[in-house]
Amino acid sequence: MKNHCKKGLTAIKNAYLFMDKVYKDKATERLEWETRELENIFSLLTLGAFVGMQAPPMHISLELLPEMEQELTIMTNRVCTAHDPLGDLFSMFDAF
Amino acid sequence: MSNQHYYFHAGKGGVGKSTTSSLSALHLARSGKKVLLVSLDPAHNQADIFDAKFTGKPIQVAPNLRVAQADIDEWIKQYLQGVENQIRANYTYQTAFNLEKHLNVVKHSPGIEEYALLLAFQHYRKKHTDADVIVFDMPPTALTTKFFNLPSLSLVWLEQLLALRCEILEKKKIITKIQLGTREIECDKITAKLDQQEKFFTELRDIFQDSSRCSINLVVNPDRLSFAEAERIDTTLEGMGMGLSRIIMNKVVGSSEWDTSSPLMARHDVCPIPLSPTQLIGQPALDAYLAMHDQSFGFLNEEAHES
Repeated sequence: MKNHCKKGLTAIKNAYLFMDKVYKDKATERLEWETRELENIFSLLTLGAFVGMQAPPMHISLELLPEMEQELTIMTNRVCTAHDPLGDLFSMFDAF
Repeated sequence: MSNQHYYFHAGKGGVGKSTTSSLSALHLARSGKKVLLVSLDPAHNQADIFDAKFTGKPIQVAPNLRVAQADIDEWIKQYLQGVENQIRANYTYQTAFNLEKHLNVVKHSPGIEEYALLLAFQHYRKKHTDADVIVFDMPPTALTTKFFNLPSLSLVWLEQLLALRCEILEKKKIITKIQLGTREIECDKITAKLDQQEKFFTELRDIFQDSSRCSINLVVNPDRLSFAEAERIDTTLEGMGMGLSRIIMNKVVGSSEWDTSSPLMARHDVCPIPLSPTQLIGQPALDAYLAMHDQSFGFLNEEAHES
């Protein structure tokens, strides 16, 4: 009897944690997408010179470059998703 | 260092920027000021004028006067080397692979040369705080105006980038708060770099716009071409919020005439410097010239004393 109660409580606790995680993820999914997009814009603004875009003076890009490995990777990945814009758009709609 | 005064001798190629800057530096040194003369001009005429070999490290040429010659190519090389080292330290091996090849191309990018000039300017003013006055022999017009404009231009970009970065960080903080329940204050290295750059350029812009700390002397000759370019420089500098301190009319002879109706005459003091009958090469020739025409450089004393 005691064991059953314990199992039941653990199951309720797990269910609660699962639901909590799901709702938290739902709540932040859109925000994360927005942040990712802003980071893409930032990368393009600062590192755009390397792909032929209007860019700030070269020294600003160069000063930031050592800290922007992640952004460079994001930008390279964006080049890949750019070939499949619809796929990217629909993955964004999954959030709703 | 806040009392240090900076003189910039700018103007069209061949008007005598190097000669007037060396004579000005020598005049100030003779009046008791500790003077550092720095050549930022890639032509490096100071070595010919003083008939000596100069490097980036200042060399004493007369009592109270030291001369240095900034090698801009070397500054660019060092700067790019620094960036490359930082990238190699921060990036994974694969990302930083073959980096040297890309940076070799970057050194020819627009803007790098004037940035190297600004780095050299900052280096000399911060490292030689004992100097009362630093006289800069500037490169020809185009590069000089870009040099003066770079801080303001960079600040426009930096403001926008900082605003965008703050927006990203704010969103990241909200995500962290929802996910982890804490609102962690993130130490963003990119924001730190942007802040550092903003501080660097704000300091430079403030110095360039402060006439009590910095004097821009425009060197011209009494001829029409020289005047036409001088008027354009004056307009460009005014657009940047900077003002010329005076016009140094170099190579003036008894029969020299210049256009007194030029707007430059109305807006700025004109200081005529007589043409030397002999070539001004070597310390004795410069001393002999100043012994005769010391009063022509009297305009420098007031500013240096005010500082």
